Amino acid sequence: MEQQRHHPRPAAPSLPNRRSVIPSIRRRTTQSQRLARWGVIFILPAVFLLGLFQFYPIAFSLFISLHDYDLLSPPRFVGLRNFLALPHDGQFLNSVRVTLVYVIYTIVPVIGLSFLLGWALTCLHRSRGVWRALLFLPSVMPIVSVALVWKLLFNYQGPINAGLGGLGVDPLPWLNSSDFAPWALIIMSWWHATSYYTIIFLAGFLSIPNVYYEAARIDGARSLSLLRHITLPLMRPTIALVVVLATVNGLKTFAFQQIITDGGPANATEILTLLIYKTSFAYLDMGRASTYSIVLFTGILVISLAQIWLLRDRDG
Amino acid sequence: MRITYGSLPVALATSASLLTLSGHASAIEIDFWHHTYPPADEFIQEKAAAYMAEHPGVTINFQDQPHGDYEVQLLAAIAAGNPPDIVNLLDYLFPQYASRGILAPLDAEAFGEESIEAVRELYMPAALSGLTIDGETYGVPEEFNTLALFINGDHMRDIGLDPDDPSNYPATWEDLFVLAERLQVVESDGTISRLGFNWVWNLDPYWYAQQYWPILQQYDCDVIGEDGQAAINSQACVDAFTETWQYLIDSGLGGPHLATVNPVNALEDFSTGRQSMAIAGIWAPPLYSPEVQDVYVVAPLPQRDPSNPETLLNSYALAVSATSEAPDVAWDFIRFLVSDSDGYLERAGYVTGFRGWDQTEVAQRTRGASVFADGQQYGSFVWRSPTWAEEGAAIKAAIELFAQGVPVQDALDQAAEQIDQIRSR
Repeated sequence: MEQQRHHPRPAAPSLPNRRSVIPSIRRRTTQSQRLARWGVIFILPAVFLLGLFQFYPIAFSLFISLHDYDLLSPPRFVGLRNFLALPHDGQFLNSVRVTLVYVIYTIVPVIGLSFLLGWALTCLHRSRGVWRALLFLPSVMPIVSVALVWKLLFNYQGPINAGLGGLGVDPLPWLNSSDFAPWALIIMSWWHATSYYTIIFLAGFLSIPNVYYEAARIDGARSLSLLRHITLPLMRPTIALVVVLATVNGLKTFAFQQIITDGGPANATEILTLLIYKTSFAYLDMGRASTYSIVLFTGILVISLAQIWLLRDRDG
Repeated sequence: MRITYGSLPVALATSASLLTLSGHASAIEIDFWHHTYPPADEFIQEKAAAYMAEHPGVTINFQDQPHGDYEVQLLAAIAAGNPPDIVNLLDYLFPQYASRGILAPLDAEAFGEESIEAVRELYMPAALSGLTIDGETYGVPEEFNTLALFINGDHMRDIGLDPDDPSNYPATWEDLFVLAERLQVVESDGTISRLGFNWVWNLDPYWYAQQYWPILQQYDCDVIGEDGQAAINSQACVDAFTETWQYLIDSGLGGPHLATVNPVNALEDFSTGRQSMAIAGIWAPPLYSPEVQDVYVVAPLPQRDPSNPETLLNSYALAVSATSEAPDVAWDFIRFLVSDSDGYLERAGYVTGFRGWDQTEVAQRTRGASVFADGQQYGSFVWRSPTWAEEGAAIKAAIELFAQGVPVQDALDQAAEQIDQIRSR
């Protein structure tokens, strides 16, 4: 029979008498309450600003989406009419298609390119800072200037067509063809977005302790194994962050399409944000524009949550 | 408008305005918003300074914004219940704004006339028509425009034509395309170094409308039929676009890909001498390079049937917002401003639309003034609709479609379908 093992119980600390405990608890409670009060006071400005500039506009958009409102006369309640019209709204359906095509064709190559460039930067032991700064430049340049420069580059008589001419390719109507204009914007976005996500990936790579690689190499692991068993698993949170950021930023893109093509030719680059802007301020239909905004907001929320869930750290 | 005494009753404000007009009171501010056009903006600011010198109690706060941004800012100000006292609006927006009570009806007395009939007498017959809704006039033109064909005289000489001989000007669209082909310069490698003619491309729907509206009128094409349904896909409209816009593209003379796009100068190619002919208004020459300014000539807009001419009228007009607390001062300033018709013409290339504007010495010195004055007799404003901007965008998209090879009929069918959808909301 197994002998029952008795662990000696630690001696109970000697309790102070009740009289001395109560004031101490009271003092702590009062102190924590005071701290909590200060905490509330400190976050109030942020809550106020968030409420004013984030939550109120969202709530107001929802309110307006249930109304017919042209900015010039008072809103008129129409219930769900704007939402029910969406499946038959050709402009909206076109914009959703244009947006999804743009996001998919932009983020997939951008994530791959950024990952490779970030990894390449980690291999540099000299001048990494210089390369990092150079690669980050497109992200810090004013977006309007960037857009105007690319508009000139894609001009029919511009340098890109001149370069293609040198290769014996006929000039392409980059910005005047419904086939090429979406590609012009996608190519430009590759250049612009890659720089930003490269830096995020670089930070991720640099946060992986070198000892993991050294230990794996001692165990005979080769490059592909290192990538598969160390880099990718440890980069999962960074990849998740980049995928979510790239998708959300892609869905919210506005300036390039507005400046370079204004949604043309023939609405081929009219992404949802641009349609929302035009519907609000050119067509004066705030109700419909708010409905589109709610759909975009919901779409971004659902896609982001789904991505976060799919890419979550299952071991964490 | 702000009255610096805070919340004085309207009665006091009105009294102050009247006193100010006679130069005895102070503290009336008039906010005046205008679209950016540097030559006009400078002129207006000088006139505002002169007005303020004459009326020490009045301050004119002039603010300009680029076209596009300007409309958005104005809408935001209206939505916030704080529009400027004086607004600068395109004529097609008047029905929308006036029907919602945003604009004050023209106050003839404050404008310095006994009655609205007397005001109408001051202007050319059609000048106020685009600003009159259900018999009520809501503004006066700052610009009363029509279109003409600008031709680079040097380029005409290059092909042996005398630019000063009107018989060399194209009277019909066929003539225009023949001349464009002669003026075009193609290099040995096939690149076009000089365009004979091109439409203005890649700009907003109103820019497109300015160009196709006269042609649609010449072909008896209605954008909207009498039944309120889209008629832009009728045979007349298909013919209009096929024989003019599409013809230019098919013949390799022009097209969107050949146009240089400059958002602040729609006539960039003509302005720099890269294009020989362009359709524009009398306001355009200040945008031309000095070399082109020296040599351009002005011809009447080509027609389908020169004996039955049609052209566009448009007006960038001045109006007073219904919420202005000193509308009489605002109208008085507008009268002061537009009365300098010669100044507007000379400095900004604006025609105010007053009767006899083309008879003054300044007008006589202005190339093409008589051509524009003729056009003002028979032109018409673009169609009126509360959803004009969206309908215009649908037609612009159709043009961009057939410019890519989609049959004109199919492109216009799409536009018609979209317009009907817009109008059925």
